[in-house]
Amino acid sequence: MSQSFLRYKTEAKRGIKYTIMVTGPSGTGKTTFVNSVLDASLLAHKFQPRGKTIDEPKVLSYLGDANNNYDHREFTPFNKNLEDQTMAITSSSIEISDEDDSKILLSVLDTPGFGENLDNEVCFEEITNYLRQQFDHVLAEETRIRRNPKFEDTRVHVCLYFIEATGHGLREIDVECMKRLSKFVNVLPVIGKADSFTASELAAFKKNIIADIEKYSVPVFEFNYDEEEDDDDTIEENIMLQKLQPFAVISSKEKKTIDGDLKYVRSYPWGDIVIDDASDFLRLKNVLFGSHLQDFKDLTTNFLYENYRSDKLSSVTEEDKKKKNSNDDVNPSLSNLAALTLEESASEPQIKTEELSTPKLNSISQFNRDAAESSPIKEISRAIRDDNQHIISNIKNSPKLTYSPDPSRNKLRVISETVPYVLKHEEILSRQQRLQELEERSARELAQRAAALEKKAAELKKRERLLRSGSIATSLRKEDTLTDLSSILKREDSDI
Amino acid sequence: MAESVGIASLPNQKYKLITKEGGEFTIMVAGESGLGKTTFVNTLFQTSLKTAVDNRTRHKRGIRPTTEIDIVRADLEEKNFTLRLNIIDTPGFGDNINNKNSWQPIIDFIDDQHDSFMRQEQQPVRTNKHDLRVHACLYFIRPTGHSLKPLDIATMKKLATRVNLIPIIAKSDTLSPTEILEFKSRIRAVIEAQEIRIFTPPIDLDDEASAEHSRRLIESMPFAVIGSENEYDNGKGETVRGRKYPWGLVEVENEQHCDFNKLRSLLLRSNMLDLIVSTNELHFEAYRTLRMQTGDNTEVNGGITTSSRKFHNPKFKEEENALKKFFTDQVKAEEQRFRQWEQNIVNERNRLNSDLDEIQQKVKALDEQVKALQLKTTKR
Repeated sequence: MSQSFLRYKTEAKRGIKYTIMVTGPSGTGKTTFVNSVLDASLLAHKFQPRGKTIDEPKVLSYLGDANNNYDHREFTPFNKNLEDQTMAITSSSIEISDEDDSKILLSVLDTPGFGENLDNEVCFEEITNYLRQQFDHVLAEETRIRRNPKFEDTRVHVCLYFIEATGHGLREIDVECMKRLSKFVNVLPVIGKADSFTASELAAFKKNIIADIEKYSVPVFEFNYDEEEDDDDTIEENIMLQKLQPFAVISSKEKKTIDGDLKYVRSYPWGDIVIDDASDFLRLKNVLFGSHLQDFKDLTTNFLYENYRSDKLSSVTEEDKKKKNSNDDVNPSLSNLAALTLEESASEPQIKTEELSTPKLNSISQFNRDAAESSPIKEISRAIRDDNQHIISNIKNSPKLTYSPDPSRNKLRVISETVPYVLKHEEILSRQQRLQELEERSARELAQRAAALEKKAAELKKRERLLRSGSIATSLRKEDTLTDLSSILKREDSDI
Repeated sequence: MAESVGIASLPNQKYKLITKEGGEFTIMVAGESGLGKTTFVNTLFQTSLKTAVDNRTRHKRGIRPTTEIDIVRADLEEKNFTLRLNIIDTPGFGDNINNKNSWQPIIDFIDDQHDSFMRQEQQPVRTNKHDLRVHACLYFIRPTGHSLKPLDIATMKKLATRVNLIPIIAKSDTLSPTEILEFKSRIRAVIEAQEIRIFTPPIDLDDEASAEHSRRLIESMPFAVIGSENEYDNGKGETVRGRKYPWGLVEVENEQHCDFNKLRSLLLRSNMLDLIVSTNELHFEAYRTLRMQTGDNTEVNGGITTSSRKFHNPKFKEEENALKKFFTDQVKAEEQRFRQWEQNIVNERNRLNSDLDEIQQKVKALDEQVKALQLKTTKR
């Protein structure tokens, strides 16, 4: 038995970790789609009463007023304050076993409340913040000397963005949201509730969406192929899938027996729709869990994450270089980043448990309070006080690292907030340059003066020579003058 | 038997008069874009009154549209009776990320019509009154199957105090019968809890048949409708308006499929006069008393408000404030920077000056030494 085979076995036993996010305006059929794709009741429908059939999802982040805990499971006609902004990101996990014994550990992230507010700006900020945090966690883990064997990669591999079935095209929120998300995740646009379109309407709607995607240059996922490496079938499949984008899906809660098989069906007074046949449902399912699963994972780690990492690190190392120029001014630097991320990851398990037990209040006001208590400047200065040597010692005994619990939570945020400091730093640099210029100018002036003085000295020498030739007598006095002159010249030299 | 005096024929005379005059009806369709407002209007009057927005014009309007008001006028004739129809559309409503106050242009439009009608009434000659008061406002609700969104609630609350509001569920062919029932009951609960006054047909207790009809209409509110401009053969040899899907034909005028017939009956066939009368007696009166009480000199006041209201859109105000704040912040930062520079330059000048002084003193000392030397030589 070779070692690689053993590794494969453990890998298969542990299962492939796979994270999907579904987002989009509410009422576009996200929940129903997920449940019918997995053939399970994983996500709860809005206003679905609590029962034993569905596990409560983990709340990963929550935006809103803590006192006015908005719960999407309970229907209240007496609505909360209309201006309130609520949104949550929840995670539900399920195991899927394939025919060949390989397991997929699937996490589905849902975004209840997305697009329901009067002002939806906060919604995609909430999501991008979450996605960025996951990248930061991985980055922190990578920079550690001693890595945590139980570290969980929580990066999201693919995001299904459900487009409202308007029949017109993309709306502002769709464009803006997909643009922002695509920096962190593969975005697949999906038309939800496609049963509101006739065949020709659907074709026109797809055309409009593609035109909009091009016009506003939204970087959605593309089905690419390598003409040299891929075989003909793959190429053909990819071309077909690319043409099919955006996928239009119909999903249902209902099941009916058709030709002996139990299938998901939408039944209307005017006819039944078998969702497998009538829409791109099966194809999308195949893309998600079959043909492109590995592509999504690879792209996330090799492209999106790498880009993020190099951006982040290069922005930080640039500061590091500048630091050498100015010793008086200190900045967060790569060495500090290591310290910061170390502390972050060390405190991570603690935060996790907090998140599990209670929905973490992640509102802006909370953040402001944090910021007020320990301003970023203070934290940076605190972090910087540990100079390089201290950091090295930190790294050496990282597992037993001592850290102050209060600022560690915001440390990574602080790094992302270094941009203003970089700008400030540039300002200081430019000022320094100006000072240098001034100094150079004054040095030049001094040199001119020195030259003038030398001239005078030369004249004096001339005179002295004249004096020498003139009077040979009184040698004692002559020596006297000579010493005097040499001392003058010496002083002039030192001045120059 | 004596012949009747003839008083009873007065209704007939009125009938002739009104037939000659024709009627006027203004209808407003509000709701987010992509809910089939245009199609619905065309279905209701069975003509192509409005054309759908095509993609190019949509691109021209940009990604961040503002709510606009679009008026289409048409004269419809049926059995020698003409109806002057005004259709008011509100493109761009609810299309933004931030939809705060996106209902403002709609509300402003309705108020403006009330205002202009009131001022026309006050004129000495008022035979040719130009009336665009909205008789019925159809608010289209997205068929999410969940409940009303805050935007819907906020807008409907504002609309309900000004016009006859009729909420309808658009594109109801994406909801199965059970889903529709659930959705409707939730919407009704919200409307009740939020105290939104929607239009209900009056129940005439004397007339059993019409009371029953009204009750049936009230029961099925909010109406779930679909729209279509195309006609198909329904398999029984009749051509009907409908939507042809691979899985079946949805018939617009089929009571089993949607509430279109009920809505049309409410809007046109049985309750059109109720809508017009209640607009005049309820909403216009309410507006008038409010204006009479608050604005003493309505004529001058009204002139100002209509023109200036366009500039008082709270959305613009918000943007303006944000821009102003950004501007002052920027200026402050720049000023701070320049001050810093100035300080540095002053410091540097002082340093150089002191250097200069030092050097000059040195030069002086050297000069003196030179002088001393010269003195020595001359002495010798």
